Amino acid sequence: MSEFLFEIGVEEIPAFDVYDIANQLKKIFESFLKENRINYGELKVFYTPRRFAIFIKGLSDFQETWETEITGPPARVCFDSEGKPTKALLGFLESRNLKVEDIYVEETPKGKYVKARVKEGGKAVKDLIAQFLPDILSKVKVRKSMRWNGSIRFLRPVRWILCLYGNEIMDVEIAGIKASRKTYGNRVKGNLPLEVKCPSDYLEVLRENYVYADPEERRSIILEKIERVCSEKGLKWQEDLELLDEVLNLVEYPGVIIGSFPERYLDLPEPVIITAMKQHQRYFAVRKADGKLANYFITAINNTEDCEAEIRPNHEKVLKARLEDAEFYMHEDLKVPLEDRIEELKKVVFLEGVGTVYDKVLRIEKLCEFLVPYFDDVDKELLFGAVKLCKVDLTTLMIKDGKEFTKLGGIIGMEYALRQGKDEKLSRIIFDHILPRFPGDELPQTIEGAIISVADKVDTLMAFLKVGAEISASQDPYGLRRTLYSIFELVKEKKLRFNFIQLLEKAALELGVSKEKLREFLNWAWTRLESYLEEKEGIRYDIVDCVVYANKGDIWDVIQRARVLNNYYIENKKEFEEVVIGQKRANNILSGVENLPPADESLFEKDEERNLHKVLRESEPLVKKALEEERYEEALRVLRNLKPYIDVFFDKVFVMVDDEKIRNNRLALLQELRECFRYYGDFSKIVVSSN
Amino acid sequence: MLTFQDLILKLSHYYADLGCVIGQPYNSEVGAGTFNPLTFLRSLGKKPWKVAYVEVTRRPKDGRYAENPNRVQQYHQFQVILKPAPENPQEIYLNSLKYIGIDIEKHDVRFVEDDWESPTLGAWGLGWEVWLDGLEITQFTYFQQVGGIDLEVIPVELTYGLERIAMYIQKVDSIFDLVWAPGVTWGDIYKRFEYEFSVYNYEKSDTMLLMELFKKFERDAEQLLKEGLLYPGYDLVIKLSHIFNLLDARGAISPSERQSYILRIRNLARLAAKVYLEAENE
Repeated sequence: MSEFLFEIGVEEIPAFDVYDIANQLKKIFESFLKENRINYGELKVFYTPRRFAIFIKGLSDFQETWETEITGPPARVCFDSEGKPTKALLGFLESRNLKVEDIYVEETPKGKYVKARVKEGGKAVKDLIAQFLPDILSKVKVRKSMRWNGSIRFLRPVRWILCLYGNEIMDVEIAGIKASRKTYGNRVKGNLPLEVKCPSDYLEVLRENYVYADPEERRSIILEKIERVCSEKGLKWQEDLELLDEVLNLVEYPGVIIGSFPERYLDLPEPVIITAMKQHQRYFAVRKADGKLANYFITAINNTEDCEAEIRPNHEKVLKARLEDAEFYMHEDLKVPLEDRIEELKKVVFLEGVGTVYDKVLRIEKLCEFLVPYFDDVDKELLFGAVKLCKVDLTTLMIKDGKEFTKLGGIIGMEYALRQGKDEKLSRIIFDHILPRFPGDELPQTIEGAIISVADKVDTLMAFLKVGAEISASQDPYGLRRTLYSIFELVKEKKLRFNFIQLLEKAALELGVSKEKLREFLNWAWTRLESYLEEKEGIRYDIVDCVVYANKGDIWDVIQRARVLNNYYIENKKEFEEVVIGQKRANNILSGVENLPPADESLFEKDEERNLHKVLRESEPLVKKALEEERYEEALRVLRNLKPYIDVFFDKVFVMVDDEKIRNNRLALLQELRECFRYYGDFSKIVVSSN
Repeated sequence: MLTFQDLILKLSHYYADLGCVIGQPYNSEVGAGTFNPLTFLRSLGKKPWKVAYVEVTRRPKDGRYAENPNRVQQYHQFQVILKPAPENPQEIYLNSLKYIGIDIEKHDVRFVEDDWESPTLGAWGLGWEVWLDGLEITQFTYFQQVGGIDLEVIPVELTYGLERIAMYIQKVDSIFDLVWAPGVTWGDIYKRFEYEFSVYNYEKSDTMLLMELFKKFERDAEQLLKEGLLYPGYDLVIKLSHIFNLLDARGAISPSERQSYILRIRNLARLAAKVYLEAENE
């Protein structure tokens, strides 16, 4: 058994990609080992922005051996008339290093063939690795690749290769570089070439040279240091694990320092301060014991803390310049009342081909007029006042010129409204109208904000449709899927009941979107709703399909029906499937039959018909009423109670009798049965395993 | 103290010792050192090329009437092209920092992803912005395409922000307080210049004239390039880019027109690249 170490030295890989590439390398190695039946104890991947390493412990020096059956030439060409081996057979034997005694003849679908059992595997692992390594880079998929010398491509240039099998250097070449036992220490600490004697020395050699190659070690040291610097100052870290993942891959040495900025900048809106710290500088925000934002920031540095005195003031200066910019923008912006900015929206293009943001606001207004009557307790005056102001922050310097602040639309509107002494709820509505920005985001606090948000998002979807954006593109470059999901989320979480289709039709009309395109969009939207509910709540897509049949307009209602039906499926799968099969059966028999007159009681011949008819007459109004009153479980319960009547009907009554009158009457009864279920949904759309 | 001119001299020295030609700024307004034919044209083709020069860089929209300590409409880049890219460009770069007196062992130096693109030049590359204690001081790029043409030999481009580095070394908070030479500040030389050009860029430039010039230069550039007069033709491409920037500063270009202006310049830049390569391949 041996230890193995492989390191690729690179120029700084983008923080965002480091983990992904490391993980791919790990998988590539694991599948290589598995495919070649090579046993090993443990495989680890280490990485920093400047290196990826694979370390294998307890690696077998030989792969396993196993037997396989191989097929040679057809038997008829293997032996001559005297039964002696022909040239064909001898050639086969020679190529496989076999003797005549080793082979046997077997009947196959293609005739008789010569076969043999041979031993495979058992090769030296070192040789297998030497064959596998040279084109390992081409197996890694990168987001964006570059050339730096010749035709080799990778995300950034590769500068060294270290490869040790046991204590020996492996004789391999990757990207034109011969492997050696050399690695490099931290750039700023001399960037020294270092010799690694054996694989297990690797981490320690690097640590001594200010590189912590194990990402988990870097993470825990950074976290520990953050805790320490915070507690020294009585502060609390504002946890941001996403940023931590990025910061982790921006440094090789996990240095952490805390800096401060002048307190007066705390007058800036909190999101502005946090954005100034996080967006470009990748600083962590810190809070005081009382939860308020503190005038401190934490940053990971690629150096040791004993240089803090040199480094900290510079970081502080950079942040101060950014906050100074923000302060200047806010100061200038607040001179203009938000109302005075409405006209300026005529100069802000929303989307090429569908006009300005001013036009968009007019459309939002119209869509809100459509939506408002659906809701009680809406302060209309406040709502329409907020619509007029909801987009004006796009004309502020903060958002127009503010680089990292440009994505704070809605937030800036609210903050400025508050600072200009506007009503607090009005200000909140301005922020609410962008929420949620993505599924799982904060939700609007006000109903007014939620309504504007729906109107704005629907208008955005229709506008992109108008200019011919590919809605179904897998890349989602305009975030349209996210926008649609956000609408679903709003409807679901805020219980917004309105006619979605009519709203879309109205928005499409305003923008001049063709009926054809809208229809395509709607088809896409329903399949999106299916995936959304499957992702978020684990609801089966065909259950959504089933209930969408009964109500296409009111998404909240669709979701409730789907939830209840899905629970039924989970709780009693067998009964659920039997009910579905009953509906499928009715549907099959009724295929092509539409609009029959109601069943005529006098034509019933059997009790099973009469009983089913009676119970349907009683049940139908109950189902309808329960659905209207949002008692979805009750509706489903009434339908479930029909099951014994249906089962016995199918058992005892033959529908397709010769007598046309009787047959049509039975079909009419089945139609009534189907209609009764269809108040809830089209159960025949559900897929059952035994069907 | 390291003056602004010392900084230029030292960097020039450093790169001259590495075998670079020490070039000069282009004598027409450019938005970046990349526009200089010493970079744009010589990045094309197979011939090795090493050059370093100061570029006087104009960004009309960044003018702040000499009131903002960090933003000006004309500043200085130190531009380096190493073609083909050597095996250790990052070490060469870091050593240049040491050479100008920055002790990187005591600082937080990082190479942070920043992929560079110039839509008007049809050029892009992958690389980083270099951070020195959180401050972005250099753009570091491996060119992949220039003038819309995939490069045969990859050059590495280093663009030092001279004012930023000098402010850092001299520990001053305003660009205007930088010491250019003993007894002379940056502001002494450029304060009035900054103010007056801000007035010109934002208020006084003649939009009609600029639009007229754009049309005429565009026509001329195309004609000249088609006749194989590369340098006069490319010179007009550079002028077009500056006129576009001036019009943009006046807010005279709507977002929809913007794209088409950029495209018109890019097409000419591509043509210039083609003409250059044709001559080189002959």
